[in-house]
Amino acid sequence: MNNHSSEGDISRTNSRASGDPVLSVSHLSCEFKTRSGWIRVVDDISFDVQPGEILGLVGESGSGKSVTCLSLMRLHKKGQARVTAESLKIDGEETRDYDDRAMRRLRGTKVSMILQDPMSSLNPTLTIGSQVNEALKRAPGPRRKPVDSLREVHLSSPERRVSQYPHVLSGGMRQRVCIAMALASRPKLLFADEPTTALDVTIQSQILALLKRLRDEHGTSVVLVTHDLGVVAQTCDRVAVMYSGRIVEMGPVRDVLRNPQHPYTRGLLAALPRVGHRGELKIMEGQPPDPRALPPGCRFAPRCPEATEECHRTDPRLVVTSASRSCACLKAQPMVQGAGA
Amino acid sequence: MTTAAESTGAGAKSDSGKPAVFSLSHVTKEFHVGSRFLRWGGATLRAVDDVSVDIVREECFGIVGESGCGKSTLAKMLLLLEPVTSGQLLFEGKDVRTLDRKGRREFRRKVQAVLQDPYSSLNPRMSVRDLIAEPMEALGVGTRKEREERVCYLMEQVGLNPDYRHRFPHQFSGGQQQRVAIARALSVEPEVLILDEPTSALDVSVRTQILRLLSDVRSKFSLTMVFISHDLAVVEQICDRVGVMYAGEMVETGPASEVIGRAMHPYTQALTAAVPSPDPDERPAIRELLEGEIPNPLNMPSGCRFHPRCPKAMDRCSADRPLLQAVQAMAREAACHLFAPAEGAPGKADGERKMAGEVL
Repeated sequence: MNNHSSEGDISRTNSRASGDPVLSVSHLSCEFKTRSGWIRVVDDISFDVQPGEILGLVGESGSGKSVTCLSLMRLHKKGQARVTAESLKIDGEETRDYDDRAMRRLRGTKVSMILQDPMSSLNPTLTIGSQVNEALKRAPGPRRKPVDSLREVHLSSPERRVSQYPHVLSGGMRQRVCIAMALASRPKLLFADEPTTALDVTIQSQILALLKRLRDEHGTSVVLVTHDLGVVAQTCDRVAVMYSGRIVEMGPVRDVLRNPQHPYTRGLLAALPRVGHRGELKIMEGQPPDPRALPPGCRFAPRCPEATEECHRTDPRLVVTSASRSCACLKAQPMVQGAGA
Repeated sequence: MTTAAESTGAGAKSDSGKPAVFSLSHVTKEFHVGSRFLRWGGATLRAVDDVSVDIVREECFGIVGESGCGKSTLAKMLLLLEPVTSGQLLFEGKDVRTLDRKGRREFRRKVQAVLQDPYSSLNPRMSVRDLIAEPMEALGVGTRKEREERVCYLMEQVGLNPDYRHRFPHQFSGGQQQRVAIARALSVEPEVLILDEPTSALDVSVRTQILRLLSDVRSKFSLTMVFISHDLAVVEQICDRVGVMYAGEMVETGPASEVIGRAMHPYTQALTAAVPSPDPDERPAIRELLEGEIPNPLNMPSGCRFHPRCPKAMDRCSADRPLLQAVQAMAREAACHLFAPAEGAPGKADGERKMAGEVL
């Protein structure tokens, strides 16, 4: 397939040229079983994450951002989901054909995950200390103490917390505990699925600062799934904007948010109320398409203010538009030399 | 304390001169927690503490704050779903406690609510037509035919196709469900809408659609709105005036764009600074992180409740509890010792954005 080689180029050109990527995803798709057959919720996406990089996966509900993470962690229910890919490399290991056992070895050591609701990721009947300790048991090297792990994530009075139960802690504290557990074995890669969505803004900024600090200290790469472009702008190095199961735009955060190439990214930014900028918001009409009834051309075309006849017929592929950026829009100008090679 | 009450009440009035729909003075709500037996033992949790504010006809008043600040409890009191523990709540000049059966019925017609999660506030077994018509049936408004017509009219008003009126809530998306909830609230021609986080469960693009719809119906039906949200940007967008709550207290009030754009109270400043901006160039060099978390409502700090987290706390703050006081002519109020009462009104400008740059 011609597509494939050029897509492979995209993931390479889009990453910072600093050694081997920690995560390299190529042509990942995920389908779910429904009563009306299999529906594809993640459709042929490719991206890389470099060491120490925070990549934002941003999109609205149903865009496939969480499913992407769950597919990479292989956390789907058996028989309910079908994950296909050309290659899924985590820290150089090809995990595409890994079975449950092999994935279990990887999870919690090389790659970890934190979720939106920290209460449901913690066991309510075990103390904080014993849960953190369980994560530390799997860590290679000399065994650390739970207290030290908790201190590292700046949990207040960690000595007292180890003997407390999750319900005693506030949402922000619980998320800190989850982060401590996720980072217990110093993974190379952390998936953070809406880690601050359930938290208040002042706590959100604390948790985001913590993630950035831990990235700086340990060089952990982070894939941050969020619906909040503000969180992306303040936290991530690069961003991939997802719409209807596809990546529609990818590039360095600053470039993408200051100068969006895809009409969807532009629409999202214009529809976003901002503090200190009271004024008319531009409404993006309509809603994302039903994955069972996708439009024939560009999936965003029915909502796109700039759509032409062509857009309703031709499905645009992600093309490289500059050394660091790519965009899936027929109007995007492909970079001259990169595209054909 | 009557003087304080009067000055507070006066300051909270907007200068439009319109009559107050809701007038709250020293409204407090306490809950008993712990032992339930004859309310003996246990402890008292003060969810809303001494809130005085006027909500004026045809304005949109926003209430912002983090979880646990008492904003939803306040909404419940405004909806008469929770009785006021102490203080006075006036609706159109009448104490709500004196309302008789008929008066309460009339209140229910005049004051309607839209809540955060439309799916859980709509009965899944009722068709959209029945859902929208239900308040009219309950209050005996119109004949069957008139109700049917009104359902169609309202569905058009909120941007839904009336042909879908026989469908059920699960057949609609989240945004459409919220439109149904809004149509349902509007069905009895209310004067006031209490909106508790109406857009928090929605996606960005849908949220803007609902915000536009709310401002459309507001001007079309001359509604007074109380808009409760944790999202400062949304509140700034849609509200005329805003009250910021912290740990059960109203700490700052004033025109929405003023309060959020140029916050005076250190808490409001920290809150506005904590909202991540989608502009990466607005990335503060070092984000002034607010340390700690909101206080335990069973064990409130002495003096100003914000002082343990406040970067500007003085000795006085841990001893004296600051009252909400007018700080300048623009109908702004703040409960902070940094600001002298209106008479002195010296350095309001000093306390402003400058602080946002300071590092904790």
